[in-house]
Amino acid sequence: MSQSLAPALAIRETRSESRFVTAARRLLHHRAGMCGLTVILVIVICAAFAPWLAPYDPAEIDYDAMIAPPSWLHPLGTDEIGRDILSRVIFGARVSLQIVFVAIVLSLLVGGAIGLASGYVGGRTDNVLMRLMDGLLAFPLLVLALGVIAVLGPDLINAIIALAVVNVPGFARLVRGQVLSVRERDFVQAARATGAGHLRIMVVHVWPSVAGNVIVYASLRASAVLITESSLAFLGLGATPPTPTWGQMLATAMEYWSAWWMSIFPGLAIFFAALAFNFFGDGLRDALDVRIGE
Amino acid sequence: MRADGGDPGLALGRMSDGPLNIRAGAAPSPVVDAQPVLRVSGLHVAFNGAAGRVQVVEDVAFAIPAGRTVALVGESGSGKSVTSLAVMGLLPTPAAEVSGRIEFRDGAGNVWDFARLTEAQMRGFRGDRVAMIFQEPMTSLNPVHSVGEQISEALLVHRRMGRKERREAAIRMLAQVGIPEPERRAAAYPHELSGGMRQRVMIGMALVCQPRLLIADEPTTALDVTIQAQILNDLARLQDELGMAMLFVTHDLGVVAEIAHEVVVMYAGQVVESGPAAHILKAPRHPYTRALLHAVPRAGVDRHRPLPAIPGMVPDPRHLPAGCRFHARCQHAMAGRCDAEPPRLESAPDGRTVRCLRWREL
Repeated sequence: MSQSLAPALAIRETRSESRFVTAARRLLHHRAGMCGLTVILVIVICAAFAPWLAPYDPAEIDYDAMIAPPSWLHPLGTDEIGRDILSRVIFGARVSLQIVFVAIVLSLLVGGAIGLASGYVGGRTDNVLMRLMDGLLAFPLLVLALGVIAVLGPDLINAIIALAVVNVPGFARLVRGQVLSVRERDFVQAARATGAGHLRIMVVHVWPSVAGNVIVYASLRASAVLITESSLAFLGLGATPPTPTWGQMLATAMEYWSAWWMSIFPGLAIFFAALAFNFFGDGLRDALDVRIGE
Repeated sequence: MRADGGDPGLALGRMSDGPLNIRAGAAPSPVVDAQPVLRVSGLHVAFNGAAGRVQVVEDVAFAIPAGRTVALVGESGSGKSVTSLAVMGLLPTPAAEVSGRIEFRDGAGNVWDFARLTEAQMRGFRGDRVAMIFQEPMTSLNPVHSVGEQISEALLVHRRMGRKERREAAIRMLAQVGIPEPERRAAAYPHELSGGMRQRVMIGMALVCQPRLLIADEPTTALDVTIQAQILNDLARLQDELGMAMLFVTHDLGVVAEIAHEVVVMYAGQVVESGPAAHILKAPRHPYTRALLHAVPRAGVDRHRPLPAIPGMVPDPRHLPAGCRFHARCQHAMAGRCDAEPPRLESAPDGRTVRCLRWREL
């Protein structure tokens, strides 16, 4: 009998761990999520150490090898003016990741703040903010991004702003919906009874219950941002030419059908990066989507 | 009332035999303290909603001196919780209309009328000089913060205390509310604790700034009977240690007997009887109080006989009956009198008030 009691007692003795630690442990056991994370890490490392990893400077022109197929000298071939594709894909990771990261963080902060205020304050504030978001949502993603760039002018910073603006309504609506249910929970009333102000209640008491979902959504949106960025670059509205981005490389490759290596490799980079963000987002969702306690 | 009270013999700790135990030292105080911590008078609360204006609390008055407990008693819908939320200033602002006086005397002797303070001023009192414990320990704690953080939050909000000091204060508080291994528990999350422990954490949260007034809204209702008895003992002990005034909201007269010095019985938004706990529990004058007392399960009563329950329901505040609001459920109601003439709250010679046309004869 005493043996059968032992495991039960052991459970009572486990150390208290925060939700973050529990989620991290769950994520470690999620196969697809870990695959995604690994690929993301590889891309991050490529981006961080690009000057050391890339065999050539991305702007360096090899006059002896223009539109050259993959070879020992240029493992992924060269483009129309003799630049090394591998080096450009590696350096492209830098720009693409920066764009994705900055755009997502911006839209999370702005959309999150709008959603939090809208859901918590309610009433007219909620109505005005949400109709504004609905207005933005009414445009197709790419059209809205094009519109923002048309207003601001085409360059990398403006492309990032456009990508952030496009994603704000999604974050705002997600956060608002969650806040509407969380603000009715008893612990919010209890926080008011301890004298906490509205800002403190929103940030300290309501936000953590919403944050899990928002992070999952952010990682899923990252792949969409990556693809939209590529589309913008493809249309010539992203980074300006000497800066290599994957979308821009694809755009150029369009004109050189027979040089398959010019389009395949940046295309694969976009494909794997987008897939990785999606897998990672799924993993996070499974890791965080738990009911606390009973 | 809990007419489904199960095995009456289980109600240990609360009642040993026959009459209800009255809280030790709860001898009726002949004169109410001249300077109570909380004095509520002429309190009215109405809600303005889609269905129009609904009066849910009408002319409620009571006073609580330091170190004393007033129990607000009544069924669901009697207005007792709304009264306690009104004192805390926690009713939803545009929808609820609060009028009357909610006078709070702070440590320096200044009197503040909570019914007239702004939300920002009120926030300075909540959690500091006036604190509240809620009914559901399961849901009133935030699942994402450790209990230590939650207990010490008021110290951050009101005292701007540093992290280390707050941690130490939380551990001291956990020990004070009777949680074993407070150092380790401070790092625990609510889902790792039992219901009784969580309610102790809630009490710790409320008491960390040493409030002068504690409002407890059915703090033991969600707990089983043995834990309930422990929590009540702890609350009474902490009250004596801190000298707090306490407003205790409950529907359970057994609990009232354990903790209260004074009782205010509410029905359909009105006070129907109030006075010293000992008098009211031993010799209730209002038929509603009597009916409530009859519905308390107690040891020594034939357990095979069904527990008496009060027939009918609390009237809808939108359609209150004419005359006495209780007449439809009252055994002693007189046709032509109780259903026509609204009774006034009258003072009885033994220091209590009764709202009944027939209290002298019954």
